[in-house]
Amino acid sequence: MITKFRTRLTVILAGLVAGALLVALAAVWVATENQLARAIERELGVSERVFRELLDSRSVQLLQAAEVLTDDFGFKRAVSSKDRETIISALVNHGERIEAELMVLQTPDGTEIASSHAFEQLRINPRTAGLNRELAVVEGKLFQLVTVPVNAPNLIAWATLGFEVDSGLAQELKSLANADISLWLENSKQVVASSLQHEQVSSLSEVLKNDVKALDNWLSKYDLAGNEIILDAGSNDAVHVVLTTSLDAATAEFTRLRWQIIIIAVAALIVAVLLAAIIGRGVSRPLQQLSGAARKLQQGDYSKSELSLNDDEFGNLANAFGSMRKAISEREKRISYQASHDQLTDLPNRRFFREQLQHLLNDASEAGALLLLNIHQFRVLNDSVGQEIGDDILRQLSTRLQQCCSSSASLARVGGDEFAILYSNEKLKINLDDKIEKLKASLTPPFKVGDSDYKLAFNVGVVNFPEQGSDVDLLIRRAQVRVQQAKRQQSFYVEYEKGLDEQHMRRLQIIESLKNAVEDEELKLVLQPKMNCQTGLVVGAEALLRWQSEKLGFVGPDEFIPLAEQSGAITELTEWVCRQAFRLLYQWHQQGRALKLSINLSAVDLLSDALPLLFETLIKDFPELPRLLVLEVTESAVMKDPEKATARLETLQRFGFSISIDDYGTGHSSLAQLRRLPVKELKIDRAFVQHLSEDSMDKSIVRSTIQLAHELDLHVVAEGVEDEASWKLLKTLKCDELQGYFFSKPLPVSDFIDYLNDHDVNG
Amino acid sequence: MKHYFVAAFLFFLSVSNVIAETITVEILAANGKPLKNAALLIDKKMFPTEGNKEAIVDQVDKQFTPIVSAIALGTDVVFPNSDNIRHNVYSFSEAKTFELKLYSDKEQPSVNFENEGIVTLGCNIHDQMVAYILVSDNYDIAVTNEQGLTELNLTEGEKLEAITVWHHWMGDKLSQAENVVLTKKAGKLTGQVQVSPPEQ
Repeated sequence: MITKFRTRLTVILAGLVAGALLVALAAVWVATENQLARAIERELGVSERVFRELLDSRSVQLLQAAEVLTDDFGFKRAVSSKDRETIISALVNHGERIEAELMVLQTPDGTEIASSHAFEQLRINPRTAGLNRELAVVEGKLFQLVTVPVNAPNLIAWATLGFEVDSGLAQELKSLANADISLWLENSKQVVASSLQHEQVSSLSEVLKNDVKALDNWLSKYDLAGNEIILDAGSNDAVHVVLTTSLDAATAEFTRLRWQIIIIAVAALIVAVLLAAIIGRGVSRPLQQLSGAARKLQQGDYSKSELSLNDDEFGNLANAFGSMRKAISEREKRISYQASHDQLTDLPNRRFFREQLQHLLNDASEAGALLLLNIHQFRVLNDSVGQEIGDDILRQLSTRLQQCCSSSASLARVGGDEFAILYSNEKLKINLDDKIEKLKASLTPPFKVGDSDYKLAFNVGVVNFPEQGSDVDLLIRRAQVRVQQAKRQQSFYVEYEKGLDEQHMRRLQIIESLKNAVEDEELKLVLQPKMNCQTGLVVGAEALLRWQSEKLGFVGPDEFIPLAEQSGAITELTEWVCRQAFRLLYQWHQQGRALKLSINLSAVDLLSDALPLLFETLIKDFPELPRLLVLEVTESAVMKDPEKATARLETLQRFGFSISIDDYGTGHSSLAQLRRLPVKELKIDRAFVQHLSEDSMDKSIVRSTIQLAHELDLHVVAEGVEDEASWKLLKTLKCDELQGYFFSKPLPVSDFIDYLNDHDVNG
Repeated sequence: MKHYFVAAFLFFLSVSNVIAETITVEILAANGKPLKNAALLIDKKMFPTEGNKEAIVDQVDKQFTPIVSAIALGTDVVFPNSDNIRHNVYSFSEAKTFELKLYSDKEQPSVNFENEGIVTLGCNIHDQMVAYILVSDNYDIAVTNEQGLTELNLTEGEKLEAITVWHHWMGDKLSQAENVVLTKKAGKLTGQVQVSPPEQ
């Protein structure tokens, strides 16, 4: 397929012209061909008529000549002499006068008087021959015969005179009719006369001898057109007259005409192609200019393109194109402004700010400070007073920041309630502290929206670059850490200190590593025995999770559990713990040990739908499981979503599990609240138990708690028992079960079994 | 000449003192049309006449006149020329071959015919001029006119039932003459000869 317009135009135009010319040429060709055929036919027809006419007129001439001859008195006298020799000599003499080649004299009744040729062959009937012009073949030659009477004064004899039809006659005809004539005899197949060239005549003779029907081939061989007529020549022979004309000569004129037309056609074609090229150029040049301009536009170059175009359609297109370029350029400016600016405050946005910061950092000589300013609890404010007021406050804030930080390299809104201020060292000639003081001063006055005043608190994190980081992400993160730090310290600003950042990083690493902890088998369970308070015998254990990370080393549960809860990894951990607990309990059950195992469920676990499903499958394999597995939940875990947690706990209770409230006393829940939960057991937090023997306050709390719990028919467990005195005390307080370092620290599973065996032995 | 002959014939009849009867004879050609210049041969033995030693064949209006005449052997025939142009008279006939070179009306050449036969006369500058002279001691002739008619005087009571007729279409031999039966019809005797004009 031709893709170039110019080529296509040329092809179409040239094709059109060529097609039209071809048709015209074909028409002319056919017409001339027909004309030629007609012309040749006409020419041959004319030649034939001329031939006949010539023959006629010749015979008339001959007749006249013969009559003159026979009217000659001397001749008559000679004939009358009856002397044969005289008669013959007179005949010859007079015949020669008119150049007759054949002479015959016969009596009126047909007896030969004298004859120059074989009289018998002639068989002339003077009565019928009369004056007619006869063709006759005598002794292999063709003669035109005239027979005239010899009167002296009455008829005394018939004189027949013959004139040979030979090539001379043919030449004569040719000069008159412009056609070659050849005569051949039917019987002898011999060419007797021809105006053709000697070579053609001999080949014609050859053809006739071999195959009369091949005459057409002979004609085409010599490029001739021919017509054949047959003339009678006596009773038993015929003369074939072949009239031929050279096709070359006939076609010459038409050929010239055709050539002229072909030349005209070629010239027209060339003109068409040139025309197409000129038109194509006229179209493609402006198109090329326009497409060049469009390419420029595509590359983001919105400068004006100089197009030298006429004031035609292309000019209009170029003008429209120019308008489009301007419109696109403006729109893109607007879009890029919007993309890099915050619509509310008209300050640069986070993206733009990062670019600016990156720009500064790229320049190694540049140093400066990044201030990240966070509005304390802005979301709470937004929720309580509404977004519109919040937006108004943000606008006012941005105005104040702009006024206050006019010397900054950049001021941007990088988050919903977060602004960034960038100072390059050059502009930081004044002490940064002064800057911050000034900032604080400008932010302290309340923000007035309508009739209300809103006083806001801010936290600012400050990092210096490049010394505290030369990477955009790092700097921002560190500044964010500072902000959090400031928030925690409830101070206006915190400057970067080494290490602050590392904690944050570690947390991230923990979260990252936790994802693979189960898979990489980095987790293990340790068991802390639970004792019967009265007997001191082991009744069970609390399963605690330990994590030995390959990357981070040992990570304490206090560190990774909250992070697992945050990241959601806790559900996977809990599932793992559940399956481990299931295995242990099943194993013990098989071994005949009646021990209970407690596991801890987080708030996330409580709300997760996966847990009941897991328990369902586990119970199917080990129906005794619910009786032996105690599920510990903290008060705070329940309080996150009390309704859903209560429903879930009820479900678990229906499975048959015992629910234990862990760390009881640290939260804000009351026993009355706990009563509504399907709880079987209460675990008094170690904070109350650790110093039980010394602290009377703790003692009263523990006592009353145990009493109340028992009133509510709850089982009480005290954890963190670290000395015998505490145990004794708890014994008197009728606590049900104990757990603590006094008995054992959490043990690996194998050690726990050993411990169990020892105590069983001891017990 | 005809009148002369007829007069001579009538004279002969009157001399013989026989009451004569004049009858009209009509000769028709083979096609039934009247035949002119047919010569009815009259046997001189039956009708002896005085021999005339001189006869005239004139040339008037480029025609011989009479066209057919009969003479006895040894008769001189005079060929006057009544036209104001010159004529030639020739004959290639066996009975008499001669040629009178062109001559004017001032001359009156004569030729003696000494042999029996029919002599055909021609003029070599006027092809249409043809005349015949019957040279015979035995026959006299009566020649039919344009209507093919001629008159014969017969002796009273004599009946003419057949007659010999010669016409130049028959050839130039006396032997080629035909015997024709005559039938009487409307007061005339009619006979038909079997000749036709030559095809030309």
